[in-house]
Amino acid sequence: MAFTDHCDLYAAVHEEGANRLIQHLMLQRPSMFNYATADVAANKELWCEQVKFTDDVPKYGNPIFTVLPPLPVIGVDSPPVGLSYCVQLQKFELDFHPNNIFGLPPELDPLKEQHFALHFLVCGALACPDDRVLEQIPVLPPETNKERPEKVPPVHVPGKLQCFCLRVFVVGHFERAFILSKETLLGKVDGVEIVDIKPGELENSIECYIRTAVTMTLRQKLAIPLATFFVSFPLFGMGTVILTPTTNPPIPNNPAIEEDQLKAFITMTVI
Amino acid sequence: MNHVTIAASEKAFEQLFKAVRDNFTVAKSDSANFGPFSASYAIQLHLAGGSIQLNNDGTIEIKTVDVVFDVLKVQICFDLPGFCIPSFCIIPDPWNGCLVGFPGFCIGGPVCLPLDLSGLVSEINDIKARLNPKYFVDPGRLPTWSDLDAEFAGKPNQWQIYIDPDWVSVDPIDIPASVGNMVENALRNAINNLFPGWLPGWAKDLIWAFLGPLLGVLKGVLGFLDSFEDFLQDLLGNQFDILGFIETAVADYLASKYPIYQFEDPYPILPQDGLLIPVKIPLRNLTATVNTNEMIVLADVG
Repeated sequence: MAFTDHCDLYAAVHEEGANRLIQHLMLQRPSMFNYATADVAANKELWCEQVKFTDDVPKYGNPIFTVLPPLPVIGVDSPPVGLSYCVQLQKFELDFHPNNIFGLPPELDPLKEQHFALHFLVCGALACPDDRVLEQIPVLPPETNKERPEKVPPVHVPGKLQCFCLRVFVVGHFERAFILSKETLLGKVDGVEIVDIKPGELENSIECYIRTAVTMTLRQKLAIPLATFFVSFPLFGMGTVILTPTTNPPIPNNPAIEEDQLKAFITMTVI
Repeated sequence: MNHVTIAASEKAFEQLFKAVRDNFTVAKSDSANFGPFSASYAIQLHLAGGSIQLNNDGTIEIKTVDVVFDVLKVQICFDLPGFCIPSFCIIPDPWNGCLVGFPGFCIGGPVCLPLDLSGLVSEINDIKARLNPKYFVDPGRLPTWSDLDAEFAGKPNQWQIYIDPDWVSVDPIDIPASVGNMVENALRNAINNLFPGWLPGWAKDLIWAFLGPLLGVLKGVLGFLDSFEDFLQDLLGNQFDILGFIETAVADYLASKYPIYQFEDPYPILPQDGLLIPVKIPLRNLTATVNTNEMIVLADVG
């Protein structure tokens, strides 16, 4: 059977290639996978894991970490106090159906047809200040604080980071979507599972956060224009043809996830 | 299994070929001396039409591509054999001499026949080719540059897939029989230009009668036996080897000038985002082939 029996253009990426692609992404855009407050980002010793990146990243002044504001301490405003932290995403593995690269937790197993599974580690730490540091923070009189609350600078307290790692499993599928006026392949999250967190409500809350983060990252940062997926095949942009995703029938799933690959099909109409 | 697979149906491949074909144009001019005559030509041509067949042995057959001569101008120069009409008296003077006489004159010498055959169409009857991927490193790229430096300098490496012909066969230029009339008129004009301005019409008629059929004159001077169109076809196709030039130009163009498919390596999968550099993936082990159904490009992510 030919690749183009029912279409004019066909493109497929095997999961091995997709995993190498993720590695390149992590090396060239590390700030998409590493988040921390400025003090942690600036100090390698505080990172949960050392970060690999290409020479071009520092050469072109790209950040290793996305720097975020300190985590506010609740109930504290005279002055406000913020804690340092670090969150790093690592060891990504992508598995297109059938599931044969890593095992899934029972909640997500078996992987449905036309679905992908993603596995990664979320490692993080909250900087825990010792009592001595906290005692050195002056207490401001409430009156002063009420008159000019906006002028009270937050106190960013240092602390010791104790890193933990969570194993995260995501399952999802791909859809076509118009994003920024371009036909794109968009990953959609169908389920998230974090192993070994109790109580269940805490697990659900963290899973909800991760589901939201993955969904929005896929939508905002990793939606792949069809032309890119087809490695800028020259028919894209050629004025004499119209390219449209092949419909069902004859192609039941477009994009399709099968045989360990993500596939897309295009039909061409000559003007 | 390869990491990346891209396939294009035969119909899609035809569109790619059309883009390559339509971008082709070539021009040439030359001149040479062939003893009794000299000749020069100027051509400019493009390609049109044609049909494609993809084969299971990995070959591509392209047939019946028109070679359209947008410009095809030929000039043939030779020395018209000279002859003289001696002076003679038309009305004699009964006492002495001649009241009205014909002073006599000689014609002959260099004559050039310009022929404009622009618009003629020949045909590439067969191209047999295979896909040939090449890795192009821009000669302007500095050794110290990273791939990203090269991209920012507009000189990225590229994968280029060419249609690499095993052979190109061009049919002889089909010179129409009407060229005989064209050359006769050209010769008539050339000889007319040799006549002195004072020559009366009856004298011209006399000379034309003396010269006989003009193609006969040409046969004598240029030394061809059959038709002038055969002579011209041989002159252009064999003596000037225009057919060989076209075959070489088309083969060279397809094999190394205009790839049917090209893309940057490393290939950008995420664009630059503010200060963030683009994310690029290296593609390795690229192969390109065809079967009866489609073109298939395979590659690995490096």
